[in-house]
Amino acid sequence: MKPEAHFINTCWRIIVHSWQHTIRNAWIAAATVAMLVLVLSSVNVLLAVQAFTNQAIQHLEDHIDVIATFTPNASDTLIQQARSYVLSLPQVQDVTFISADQVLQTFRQSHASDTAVQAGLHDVDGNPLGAELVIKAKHTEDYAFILQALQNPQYASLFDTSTYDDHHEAIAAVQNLADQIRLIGSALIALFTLFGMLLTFNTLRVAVYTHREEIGIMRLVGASSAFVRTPFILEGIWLASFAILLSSILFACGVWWINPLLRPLFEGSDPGVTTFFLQNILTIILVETAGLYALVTTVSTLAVGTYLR
Amino acid sequence: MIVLDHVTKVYHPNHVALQDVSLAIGAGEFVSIIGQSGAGKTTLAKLLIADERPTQGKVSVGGWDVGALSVHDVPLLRRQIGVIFQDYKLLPKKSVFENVAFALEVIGASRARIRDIVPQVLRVVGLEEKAGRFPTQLSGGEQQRVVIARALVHQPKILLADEPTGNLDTLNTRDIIDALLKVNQFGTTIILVTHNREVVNAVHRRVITLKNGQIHSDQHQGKYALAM
Repeated sequence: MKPEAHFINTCWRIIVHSWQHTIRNAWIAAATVAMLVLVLSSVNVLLAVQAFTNQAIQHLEDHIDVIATFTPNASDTLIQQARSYVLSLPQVQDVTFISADQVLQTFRQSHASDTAVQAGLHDVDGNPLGAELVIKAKHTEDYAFILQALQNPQYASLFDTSTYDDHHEAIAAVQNLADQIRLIGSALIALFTLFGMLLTFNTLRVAVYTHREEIGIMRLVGASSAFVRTPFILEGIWLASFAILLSSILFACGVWWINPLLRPLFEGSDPGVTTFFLQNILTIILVETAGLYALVTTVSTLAVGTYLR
Repeated sequence: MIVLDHVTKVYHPNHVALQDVSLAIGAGEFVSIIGQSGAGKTTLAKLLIADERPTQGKVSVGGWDVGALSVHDVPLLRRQIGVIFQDYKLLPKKSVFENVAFALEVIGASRARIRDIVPQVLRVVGLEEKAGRFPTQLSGGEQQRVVIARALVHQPKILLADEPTGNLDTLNTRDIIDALLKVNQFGTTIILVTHNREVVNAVHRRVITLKNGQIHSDQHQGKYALAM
């Protein structure tokens, strides 16, 4: 037989042996796949939870703004200058101007049932309330700078109040919470990935251990190390592929089920889990496949090697 | 064919299994190696297939120096030897056909050759009809015949049978011995490791007796009773 034909023949046999072995040891294969699916799903769930918390934090951050209230006697020209100044700040994403009349109208509506307030407003001559600027920053950490910028001597006298004091602690708390959640989420994913690797390592070792006598017999009959080892590596790769397929389907089903349930928490907007899934599923599958294949190859090589003499 | 030159094997920490054993077995011989439990028979068999290495001395099998074999070369040596074990050592998840074919697959035989030879060998051992069965679906005697088929299918120069009749009844024992004698007639060197008196006496060929790890006697047409 020519060397090329011999090589192809051997490769074909190794593939057939590995596939036969997988099918004929269905229970061990099923247990191994179940364990791998558990490991992959744990990581997938944590990734989805992190995507969800990121979206929740983003949602919370979107609701943060600073309201700067002008003194009632500030002229329209100065108010527009102040608005332009705020808009020119690179940290500012958006500024909404609310006129004094609109502020008064909103105030009346929100205190419609309060007779004392209504009477007070009636007694006061003219509009006691000033116009407002609703300022949104690009990033939560920019609010501190924006509020500082409002203290600019050129414009500081125009502002009656700002919600700086009211928001300062809340903004800092949200920012702190977001940082903590992101850190804990990343740490949990790293930890579960590590646990998953250890679990996979042991699962594959046990699977090979159950075949230790077969490995010995193959060697006694004259099989080379590669002829014994490679089918086990391939078997591990079949099982890993099956586990990745199953865990991806489970992940997709989970996302499809949970996303509508989370929507009310986000006032009808996308909770972000589906978006995260659609944007990242290919990367996740590729990374998990590469990682699992590398792990399977390493563990199978080492574990089978223990029983090769 | 096989030469042991002042071979000693010591297991950790200081159990001497074989001590200064020297013997030579020529091509085509039928040699029974006998002795009580612990005499060193199995150690000797393991040395011949490089399952163990000598602590001292030299073991030469078909020109291979067992003590100097690399891990890569061990399978090459084992492909020259057919081995029959008392506990069969069949691959449990492979059928009778696949177990026998495995010995050919490891030497890279073509699929056509395997399809041609394996049924022939199974016919010789009377298992052609059971080619598709798995080892657990066979009796002890049938399993041992599969092992013989596997040991012979690649036409080895040496056949090592380690207690091949240990788990068999008288009828099956007779069949196995007849099969070994027939194989020997075709020129294959047979090494039969046993403590079965009837087997050794029935064969009536060269008998090497081991006692306490040393050669106690080496008779060219020995009998068990005489040897011990």
